[in-house]
Amino acid sequence: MDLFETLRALSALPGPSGTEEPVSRAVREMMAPLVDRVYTDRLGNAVGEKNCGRPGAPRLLLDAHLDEIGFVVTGVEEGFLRIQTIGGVDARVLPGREMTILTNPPLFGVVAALPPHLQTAEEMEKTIPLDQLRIDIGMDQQAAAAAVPVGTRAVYRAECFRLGKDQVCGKALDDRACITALLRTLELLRDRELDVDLTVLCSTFEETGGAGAATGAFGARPDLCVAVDVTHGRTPDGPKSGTFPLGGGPAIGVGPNMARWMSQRMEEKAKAAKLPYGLEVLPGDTGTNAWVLQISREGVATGLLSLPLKYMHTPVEVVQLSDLEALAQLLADFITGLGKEAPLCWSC
Amino acid sequence: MELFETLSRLTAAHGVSGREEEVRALLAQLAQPYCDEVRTDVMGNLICRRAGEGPRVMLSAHMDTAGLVVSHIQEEGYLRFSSVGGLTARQLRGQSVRFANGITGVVDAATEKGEKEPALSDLYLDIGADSRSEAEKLVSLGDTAAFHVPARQQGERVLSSGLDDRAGCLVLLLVMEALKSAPNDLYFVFTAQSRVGLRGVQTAAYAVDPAWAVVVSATAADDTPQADHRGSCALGRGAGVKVMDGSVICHPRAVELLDRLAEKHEIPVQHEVYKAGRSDAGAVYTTRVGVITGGVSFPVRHLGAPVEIADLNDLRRCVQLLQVFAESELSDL
Repeated sequence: MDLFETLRALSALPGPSGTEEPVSRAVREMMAPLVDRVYTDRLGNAVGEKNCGRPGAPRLLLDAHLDEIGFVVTGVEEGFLRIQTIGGVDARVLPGREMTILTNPPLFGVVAALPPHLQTAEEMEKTIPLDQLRIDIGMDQQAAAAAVPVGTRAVYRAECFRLGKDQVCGKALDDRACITALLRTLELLRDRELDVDLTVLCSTFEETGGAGAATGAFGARPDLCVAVDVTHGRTPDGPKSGTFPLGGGPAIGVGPNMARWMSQRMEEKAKAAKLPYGLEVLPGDTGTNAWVLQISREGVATGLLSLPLKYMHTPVEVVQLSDLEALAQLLADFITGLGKEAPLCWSC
Repeated sequence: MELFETLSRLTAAHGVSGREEEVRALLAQLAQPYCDEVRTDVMGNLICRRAGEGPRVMLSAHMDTAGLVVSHIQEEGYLRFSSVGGLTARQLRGQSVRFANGITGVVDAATEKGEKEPALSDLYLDIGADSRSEAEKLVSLGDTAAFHVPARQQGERVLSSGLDDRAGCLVLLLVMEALKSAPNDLYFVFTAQSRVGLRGVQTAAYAVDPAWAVVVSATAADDTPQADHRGSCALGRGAGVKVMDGSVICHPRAVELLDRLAEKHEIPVQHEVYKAGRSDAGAVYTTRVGVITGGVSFPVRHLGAPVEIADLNDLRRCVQLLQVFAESELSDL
């Protein structure tokens, strides 16, 4: 598969938390040739199952999330849309942004931005609070109120394009890049013998707390799981600690959310295949679905693999394709032989 | 069931989170004639079943209110307390509260006038007792008290303490009474301990294991002078169809179905987006393998204050909408 084209196709689809169906449907179609069975559930998760055919094999769940951050319209004022956020939107980057208003058919919008000429010195220093931001859809009050009911969602409108040689820029790469990596993992596993039953959970609602992962895992009853999500890429203006350079491979999570043996196995497999990787030490809540998955039903031995991504939760998120490929390779190696090699005590 | 009279009885019943006995007994008595089965679970939820052939459908409203709980009785007879369910010092100061046994008191601050806003720990409750022994004859440590302004009707508006969510409980009772057919296996659940973290509804939803759920709750009206537009509903504009609040994003199928039913039956509705608040729906939709969850809301002004204001027609619209929802053929996936 072409990683860039797959990622570009997924990035283009709108899927703010709770209304992920366009993304879910596309992912089910992409996954179908790579697994035995695909299905969706009440909360809209896209789930693929691939069984190894061995009775009593451990069940491994892989998770990446479908949803993206977004907006919801709460009212119309002089033709401009009042909005609230879905997930962790950064209000600083909003003025002047292009938006897609998810009516049928969708509408274009731009976030109103007062020209610098009209701002006071004090205003120029401050971030405009969300409740003062409006989306301009070029309509008067009557037309806008008729076209955009309260509750309509919106997402960033942004092209997905190559940045430099191997990096990709676009919206919703958190976590569509990891969905792409999971599809690539399934492709790599196609010709390998499995000794675990695999569930690939492309989950909804991650940006608002992980409801899709919670319900999806309840349904799938895994013994083991690996959450695949993004982590912060290193930039000159950011901290050195807890960030990972693009091109340096995936970050392996270490901490109470992760079973120690799973972190170690990932590191061993990366070394054996000479894949680049980093170690991400997370002292508590990882802020990923791993946190939810670990305590599903009787508990699930959990691992976390993260893809470095710059400018998280903006419309210009950036990832590197070589990191996607390394993550998929590492995950495929991690899974191969897992049934035989996993310790008897999964929590060790 | 007479709407205002029943609402008066419901709002007058004591039921601070964790101490819902009185209101639960009243609800059980009112629900009994319309249900096949009425039971109370470990958390104190009241679960009323109206059996049917179709999928399990849960309609719920929370029966607890915020209040305070006595934590210390001073030598001089004044009571110290903790807030239950999120009441702030600003909301409590200067207000009258009543215990389940009828004992009434006034909250004031043990700080000098003109000082900064008192903290909860500065507040005390005066029940008119002159000594600890006298106070102990009236109340005990652990007793709870709540606002108790009786319901009053002014035109189509009702003013009362505790409309959140006793008016929601009333809506469920009226739906039970109005139901003509029941193609679904209906569970009417009056939940406990919602105000302390959406607690009761979690065990109720786990036990009922519904395919669909609709939560009936109050939403802060966004039509007051101080409204910050984090909400979207106005009094008198009809039943709120919840799109999202601070705890839940409703299932698109639930929103679409409620919209469609409202249009078909010409029931006035308004979409509700209420980011500042939470509802039991936030705990229902993640239950087990997930629940197709929606919400029907009624706008309330001064939510959380000793006197809240709601619109009786909005409540009637909620009843109509839930009735046609409960009577519709619901499919799972």
